[in-house]
Amino acid sequence: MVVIKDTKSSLVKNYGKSFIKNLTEFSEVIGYTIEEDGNELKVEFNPDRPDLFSFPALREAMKCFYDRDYWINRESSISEVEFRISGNVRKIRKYAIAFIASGRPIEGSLEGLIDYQERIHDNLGKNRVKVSIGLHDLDKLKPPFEYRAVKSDSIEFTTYDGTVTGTAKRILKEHPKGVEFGKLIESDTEVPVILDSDGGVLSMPPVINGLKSKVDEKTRRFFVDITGNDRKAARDAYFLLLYEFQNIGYTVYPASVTGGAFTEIGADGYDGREINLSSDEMKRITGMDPSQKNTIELLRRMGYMAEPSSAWISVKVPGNRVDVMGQVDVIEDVVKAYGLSRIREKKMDLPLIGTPNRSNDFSSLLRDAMIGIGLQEVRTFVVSSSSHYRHFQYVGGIEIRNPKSLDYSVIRDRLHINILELLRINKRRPLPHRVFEIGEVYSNGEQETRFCAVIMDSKASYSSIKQVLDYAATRLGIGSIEIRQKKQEGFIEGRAGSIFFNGKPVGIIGEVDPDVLVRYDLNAPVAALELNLLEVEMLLQ
Amino acid sequence: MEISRNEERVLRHLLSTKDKGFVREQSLEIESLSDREISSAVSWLDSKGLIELQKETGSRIQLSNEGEEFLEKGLPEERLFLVLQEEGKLPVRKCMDILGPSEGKIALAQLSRFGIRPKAGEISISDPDAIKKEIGRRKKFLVSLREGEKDLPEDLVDHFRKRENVISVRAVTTRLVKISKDGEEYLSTHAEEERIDFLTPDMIVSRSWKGKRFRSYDLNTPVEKIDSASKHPMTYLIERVREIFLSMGFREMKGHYVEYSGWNMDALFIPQDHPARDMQDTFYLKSGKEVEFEHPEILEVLKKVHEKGVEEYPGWQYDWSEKRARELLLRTHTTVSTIRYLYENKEAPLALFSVEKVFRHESVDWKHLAELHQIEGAVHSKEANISTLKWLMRIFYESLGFKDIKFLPSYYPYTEPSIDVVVKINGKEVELGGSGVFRPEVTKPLGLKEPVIAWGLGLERLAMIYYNLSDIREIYNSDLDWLKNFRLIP
Repeated sequence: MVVIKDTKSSLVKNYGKSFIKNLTEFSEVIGYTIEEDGNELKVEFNPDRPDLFSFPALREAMKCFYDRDYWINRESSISEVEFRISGNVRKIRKYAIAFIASGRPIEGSLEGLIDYQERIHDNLGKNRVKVSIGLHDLDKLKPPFEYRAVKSDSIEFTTYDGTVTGTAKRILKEHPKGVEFGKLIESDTEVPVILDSDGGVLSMPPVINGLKSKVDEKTRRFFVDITGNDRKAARDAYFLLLYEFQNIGYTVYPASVTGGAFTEIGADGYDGREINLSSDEMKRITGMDPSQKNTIELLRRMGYMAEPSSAWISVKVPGNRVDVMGQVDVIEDVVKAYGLSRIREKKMDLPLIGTPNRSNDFSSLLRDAMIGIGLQEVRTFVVSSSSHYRHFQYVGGIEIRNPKSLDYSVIRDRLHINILELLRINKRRPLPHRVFEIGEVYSNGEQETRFCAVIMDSKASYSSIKQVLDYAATRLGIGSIEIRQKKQEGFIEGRAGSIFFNGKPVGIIGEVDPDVLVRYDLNAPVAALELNLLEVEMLLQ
Repeated sequence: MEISRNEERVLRHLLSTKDKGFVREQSLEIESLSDREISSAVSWLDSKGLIELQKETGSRIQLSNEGEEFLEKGLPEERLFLVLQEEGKLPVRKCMDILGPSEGKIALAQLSRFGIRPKAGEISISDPDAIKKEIGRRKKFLVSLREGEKDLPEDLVDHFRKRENVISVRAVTTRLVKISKDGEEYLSTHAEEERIDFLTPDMIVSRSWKGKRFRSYDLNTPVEKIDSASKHPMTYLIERVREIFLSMGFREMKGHYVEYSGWNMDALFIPQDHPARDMQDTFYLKSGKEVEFEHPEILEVLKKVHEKGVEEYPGWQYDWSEKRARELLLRTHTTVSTIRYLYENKEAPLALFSVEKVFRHESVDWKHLAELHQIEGAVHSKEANISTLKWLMRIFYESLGFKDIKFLPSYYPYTEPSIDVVVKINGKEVELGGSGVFRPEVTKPLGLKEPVIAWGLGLERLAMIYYNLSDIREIYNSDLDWLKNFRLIP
């Protein structure tokens, strides 16, 4: 989730009185949520629409949707500012592109712009790993610019905040951003830098900018660099920033990039790329059959260019719509523009017969049988506390690598431990407790469906639980059951054993060891049985 | 007005003592009725206005533990006095030996009030008769207390009150009763006749009930709670959901908790650097034992889709890692069951569902659980589209009793369009899950020809509304009393 926020008063001041009302209405079109917290307004987005992650961007999208101020794909003219890419960055951070944005002094919009840049760093750039963006004051610099790798002890500059002056090596070691992002540069002897023709350092991407090119509220001509290790992320970030500058009223010019072909990020033709929408696909996905004319209008309102074509509709996609991959994405926007609530629902007739899962049905029968003899069904957590297994050997074989707390850190390997825990929670409730659970466990790395019955009472004994087993056996038609004396972990020796069905072990039964009872703070006898239902079901077939 | 047999008997008794005016409740003696039964009958008669009742507060003196003991063994001062009388003189130390340290102390303290004080480590008697008389009074006092006598000498009450644990004095309320006018009238209009209390097998066999009347019961008398057992509240909901889907022709799937990322994530076109795959969002597992990767041939297909896409769709365009696809996790959705089932059964139409647990990397608190049931559903059909999805969702929630539902645009990497389902309950909007049409990058590589609509809806949030729970943990860390008594119909 991505959140943008501002005070209501400043939103009204910057974008007009009706902005907040329209923003709320538009949320049902796009699918973001709005939260008001006192005077603050928060907009929470799904991650798929980075093109909308700012208030100026939302204003432009609403202008298009409500005021029909449609998007037209204008070719930007290429700037004369040259951005040379040296071959030696190939191994360090190979994708790079840049553009120039020019207009009035940025003033109050600077903060919003930097926020947007940071959102792109986090969201697309995965905290600068895949891509990072540098903003520079072009008027303080002397083009052409060069992006190259240099020895980290051979270059010196002052960081944008003026706190550290020294070699790149020193900055990586001493500046907090150097420490945080330095590890993103794999080699520590060579670092990538962007230099102007005087040799001044604009930036050491993706770590830190230099002081020389620092932007401030008076900046009116920007040089924006985008560098990264991920081709798609670099391209996406480029167009997102390009459009964001236009959203705040700047004219943009791509820099003339020269250098190795390896750095080509596929920007050419991406802005205004064409998707052919067919009416068949429209019908297939939505179940609607809208007219060509209406569909074109809806598409335009959602920010596309759309024209009739031989295939039905030719759609041109703006470069900042990095989420659009093909027809279905465009169709979704038609649906949003039309209004999900307006789509007429259609009854579906399936020529199919409902088929329950047999194991689940088997469990249901056993469950009904247990209710019949007055056992209460319980359900306990699958992910259990590892503390249970301090005293029991863990035979599940499936432990969580990144537990949130030890209370929820292993997948249970038996049910009866969890039920003892449940009885502990219910200590103040009057006896007897007669409960059962049907649930999944992992035993020796395999998932099993288990049935466990537990009786706790001042007179509970082996016979009390054997009655349950006999009843279950009768009801399920398990004829040949035999219990063989065997020491069971947590049970009294001589009063516990393995349950055999057709000569195969299918479970355990017995009286719980008082040592265990004391551990669970229980002071009445407990008898329990636990069956592997999957095994029983298979043997019955 | 109905009165019980016991009440009638008490009332008749009160009629007979009418001339005495108010009588103490405790003094009522009626054959075969216990004090408790009389007391209960008195309360009922009073509430019905058939008697007059007055309350008198007073104090009640009773023997305490030590009092009982002293009565049995003799008061400590008495026992010491008897020895002293015989011996004439006794060393203090000897007193302690005879009575034990605590009683010895009491005895010495009591005797010292009679002027018997140790001199040079010894005690002796001077005026035995006066002491004997006083001790005799004390003994008699304890006896009369046990006998329940009422008139007790004030000075001895004071005396024993000051001694620890011999007697206890409590404030008590005594009820005084007298038959009322209404009571007399009632009796005069209701002739005494024998009525049957409990119908017994004997009576049935001997036909002895014939010609007699049954005593009427007060049908609203509270009775003891019956012991009960029921299915778990979640079971009811799961069964309800199963019934709905089965009735619509869906097939039930049963999956497993442990999955490979490859099926849980990659097959659903979730890119490998998607936040949902972070350690903060998903439980990854230590792979102790070998778990089979089902249909490993899919790995090749997934690599291609993620890197290069399918048909006109360009894919995510990154270097896909097989290692990441081979990470074991606790499934984050049951959509993984759907996608694999569809891969194994490609023919349309097919409608699938399951109601099983999924896992979220959440801290457990009153509104969050790390494991939740997901209602999973999918239809692979020519007719699967947004219009039919809307119909299915409405029918489903309507069957569960939720009439007011709303659809909101949303985002999931594997569906396009993606739609969230919001249910309106008591004016509040509750988001219950996501749905949509599977992306071509999901269906095409698996060889599915028709559109697939799918949804994953939460069940626990529904359960909280159904059963009016304020703490979601209650569902599993349950109070047995709640499990046995929760309301079946919300």
